[in-house]
Amino acid sequence: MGEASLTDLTVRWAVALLAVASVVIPLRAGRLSLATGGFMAIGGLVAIAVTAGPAGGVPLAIVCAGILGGAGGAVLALAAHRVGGIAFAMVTLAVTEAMRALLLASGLAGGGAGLRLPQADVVPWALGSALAFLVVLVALWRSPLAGAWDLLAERPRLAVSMGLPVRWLEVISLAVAGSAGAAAGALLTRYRGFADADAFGALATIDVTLAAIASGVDLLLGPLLGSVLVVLLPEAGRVAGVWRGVVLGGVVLAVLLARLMLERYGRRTRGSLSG
Amino acid sequence: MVEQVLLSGLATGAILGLAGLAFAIGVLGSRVYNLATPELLAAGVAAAFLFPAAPWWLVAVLGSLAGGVAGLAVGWGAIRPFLAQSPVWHLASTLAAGTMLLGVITAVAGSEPRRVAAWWDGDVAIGGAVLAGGQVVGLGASLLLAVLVVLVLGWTGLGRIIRAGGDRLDATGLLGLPGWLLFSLAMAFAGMVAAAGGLAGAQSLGTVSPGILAILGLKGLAVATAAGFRPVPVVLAGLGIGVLEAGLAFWLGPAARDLGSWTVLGIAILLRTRQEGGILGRG
Repeated sequence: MGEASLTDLTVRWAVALLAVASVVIPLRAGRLSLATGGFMAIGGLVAIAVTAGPAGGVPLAIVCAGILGGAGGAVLALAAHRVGGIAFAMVTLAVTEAMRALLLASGLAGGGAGLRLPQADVVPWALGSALAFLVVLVALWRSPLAGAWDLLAERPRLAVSMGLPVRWLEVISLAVAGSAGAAAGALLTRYRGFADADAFGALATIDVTLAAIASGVDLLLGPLLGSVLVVLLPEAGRVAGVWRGVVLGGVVLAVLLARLMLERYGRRTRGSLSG
Repeated sequence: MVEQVLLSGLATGAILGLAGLAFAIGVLGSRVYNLATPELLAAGVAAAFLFPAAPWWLVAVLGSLAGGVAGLAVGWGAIRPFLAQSPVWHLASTLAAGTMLLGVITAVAGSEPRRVAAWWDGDVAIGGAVLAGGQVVGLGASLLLAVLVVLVLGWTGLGRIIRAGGDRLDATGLLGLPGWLLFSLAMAFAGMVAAAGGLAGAQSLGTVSPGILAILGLKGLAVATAAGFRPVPVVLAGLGIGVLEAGLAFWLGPAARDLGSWTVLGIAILLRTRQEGGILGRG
């Protein structure tokens, strides 16, 4: 494997991990978010604005994108407080599509033709961001927050009646998700040296979401597997050809069915043991 | 000029309304949010792509049947096994089923945008506006179909049966109505409506691809959610969003169209959900 392709794989994996994290964290709190594209668009806009500074402005762009994306996620959480299920999925889809349309309409990303940016060496910053978010994920998954999110996902009414700070649980989950998504957008834009509104649309978001769902959210291994799946998607697409969508959708559906059967088997086993 | 904007907006809005209706049928019939509905629109147009020389009525029948079969497949493969699970499971499984369905459609019928032959060649002048034959067929068929679906859901035995299944699928068995049959009816009916909407959309738009119709269908889902899944408001909201889009595209440029409509839809869903709670809200 050449140096160029190793660099490519490293950056794509880091971007994928951050993007998958922006799906997995709200999913752990019981909400299917399709706002990943919108968060990535915030990062893309920051990457366009910040091209000066040390290392071509890459670290500054990632930090600014993380802060702005986190703020965007928090605002979205406050606006969509106690909104769940399909309504939340649709609101977040609206955010993604509105951000894509904003990029196109404003001309900030060069309209339909896209915008060239100075290329920069993003590998160390990509690895650094990915590792930093892995540490954040480990900390979150081991903290009492994870338990509270689990309860919110499985028994939302119970979580409310127990007096859990539901609003803040939602704000934290979407703020971290927004931060990760925006950092992914900034990294991707600077790595490609090209800003393109369509890279942050609904279709790209659905691919990342499916990979995240297929990999599971309960263990830290899930986001890691999901990021590998996103990196492998283009390769799988080349192998599967026109059947790429069938393979991806089929894998996700098979994983969901397998998880359902395992859950039922576990329940039956527990039932027979206690009976 | 205003008439032209209004009519082209109504043409797009009617397709959004039909996509929203197909989504609403699934919700009314099974209490499940079928995110594969946009791809069911594309199932209809696959027939037009595969049989370009076939007479229009045959394409309409084949397209609707393809939608019905695809709706059943999604229902039994991706919804029925997860009926007892939480809504997030339904969203995930139908999202995956939609990706599979679009994969099958593009593999069989191609993914490139193609011109679909108009089912009628004449032009119609309404006020200062002139509509091409395909646009007339698309608008007329969409509106007619939307009215028919609203009537079927609200005033016929089939509609009552579908809605009964959505209210208490498990209890319908006690009344002698097999749950699996009600579920299958709702899924097939939703698939046929979506596919017919896709065909009407192809007539209105002229040049389409399965991907373009799927994106249009996604907006239809947002329309249905904003309108609370009630058939008449869904159709009216679809028409309203279509007119808004046409106006924005005409006066502010094409890029403003999606920005305006998605912003309005997002805010409308938030307001409705906060107001209602119920099946949409979490608490």
